[in-house]
Amino acid sequence: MSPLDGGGLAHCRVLLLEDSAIDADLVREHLSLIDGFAFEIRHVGGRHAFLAAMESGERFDLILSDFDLPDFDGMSALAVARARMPMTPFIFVSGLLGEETAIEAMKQGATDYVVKLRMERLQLVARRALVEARDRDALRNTGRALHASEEQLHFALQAGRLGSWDIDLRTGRMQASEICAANFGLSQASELSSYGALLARVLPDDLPHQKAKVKRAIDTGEELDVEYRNVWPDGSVHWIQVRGRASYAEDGTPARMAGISLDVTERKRAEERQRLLLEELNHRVKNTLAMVQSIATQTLRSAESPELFRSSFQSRLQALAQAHDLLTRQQWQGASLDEIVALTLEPHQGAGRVRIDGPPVLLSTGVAVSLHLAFHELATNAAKYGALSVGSGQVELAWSVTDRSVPTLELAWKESGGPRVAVPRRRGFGSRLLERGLAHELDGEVFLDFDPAGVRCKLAIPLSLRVSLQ
Amino acid sequence: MSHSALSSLTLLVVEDEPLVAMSIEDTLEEMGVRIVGPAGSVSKALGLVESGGFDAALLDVNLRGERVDAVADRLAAGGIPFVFTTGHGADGLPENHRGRPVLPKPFTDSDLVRALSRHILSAGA
Repeated sequence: MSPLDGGGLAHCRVLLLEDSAIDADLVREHLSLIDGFAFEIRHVGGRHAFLAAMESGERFDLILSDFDLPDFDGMSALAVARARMPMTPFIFVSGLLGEETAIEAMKQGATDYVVKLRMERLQLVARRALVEARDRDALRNTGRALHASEEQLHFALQAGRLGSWDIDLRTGRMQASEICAANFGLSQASELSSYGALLARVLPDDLPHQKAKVKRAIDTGEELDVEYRNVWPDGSVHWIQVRGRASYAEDGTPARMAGISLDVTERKRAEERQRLLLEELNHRVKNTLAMVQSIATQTLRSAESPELFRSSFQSRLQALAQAHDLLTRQQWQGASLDEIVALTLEPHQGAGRVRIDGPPVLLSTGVAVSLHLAFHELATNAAKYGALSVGSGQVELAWSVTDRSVPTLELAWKESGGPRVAVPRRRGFGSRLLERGLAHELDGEVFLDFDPAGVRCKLAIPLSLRVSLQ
Repeated sequence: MSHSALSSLTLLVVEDEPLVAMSIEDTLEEMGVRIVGPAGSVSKALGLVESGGFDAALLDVNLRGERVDAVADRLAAGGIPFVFTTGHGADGLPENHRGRPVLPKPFTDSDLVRALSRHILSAGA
């Protein structure tokens, strides 16, 4: 049945159970007199045809039934109709109906009854039944839609891990969803039954900010959007984002405030990590620039010509960059002594010119960079003037851990087979880095010996968190 | 630039990066400043503060991940002037010493001399 409101006729399908053709015509006539409806009548004369119509899957908006039929009776027809089409109005149209029978029929679910002697009542009764059925339908559809909409909202809230809440601003009573309670570390929604209970959970430092935002939202009617920290019963601190809006009574006084809540602890942590990373990056860049400045100043101090300055400076910057590459590969968690040594000496190792031997030792990032720069200086000097400058020369780099007063890493660099070594006229960058910088950095001792048979360098570094056996 | 006024000075240098420490030492030594240190860790710096024998200090704010606050507190308690050096902004300064002069890294030799002249000589050291 289509609605009446459109102005056109409501199309209405009727199932009529009537064995008398004359009575059927009479019914048809009376129905046609009802304003606003166009009836399409399916007339069945007995049990078989009635049951077939019920089974056919056809939809009927109204069932009219005689009470006494040769092969059937009205109460059985009613029972079938209630079972098959419980929402379709069922009206008896009968020759005579005793009061008790009529009451029984209504009890069994008949919508109404009309006696044939007063057939004109059919117009009123049928119309009323149809209108009521339509209203019931509309109500049911609204209810269904409301239910579906509530389910959708619930699903969306669940999926978004959004809590919902509603506060009566006059009484302070609060209704919170389970997720909203969970945002505050509470297992029961009933633990957030008042706004006061919520305020008690806000981190005191954030309370003025939270209150100011809520007040502003209530005063202006604008949307509330606030983030603050709350303290869970286990003492842990979590970030929450709350959005909502106030509503007002007719006289303009604030009545309610309702909205959603979301745990944003993870996002806040990510933001904090990001901020720390950027700060750390800034710190490292500045420190690296300070190192580069120092390398430049000291390379210039000992350079004999602009050309020598240029090549030494570039080679030292490269060494610094290599160390950074290695540390980045290791996520800046430090590096092993093996790796640091290999960085400098690997190019010479292939030809069997370099022998390396020692147990696994783990270095902190700072120590790794300093040691790498030191080895770089030793190797560069060896390649220019020492054992690695001629085909027959050898370098031996060996380390071990010995027990002095404290466990100490002893590391020895020994060149042999190279040209006779002359003690340099003045200490260059490399010597200074080793003797002053490295000794200082490692709280250790450094002996640099320009033995005529080959340069020797010994380092003694007490084991610590920064230099440890792996 | 005349450094004669600085040449009477003995300075504690607290700096964990050896290359930077070497550079500071070079610059100061050229001016005739005597150096105590350099100290590359908080514990070493505290030890040197304990021994004394210097007029002022240059403090790196962060030493191998450790903050230099304890050293600054000790110096301030002893009335010894100091200048911070840092790769962070002024934000990273120890809470109790926000008003102290800062040399942001990297700094020039003249920045260093100017800071020492202004903040340490004028402090009566």
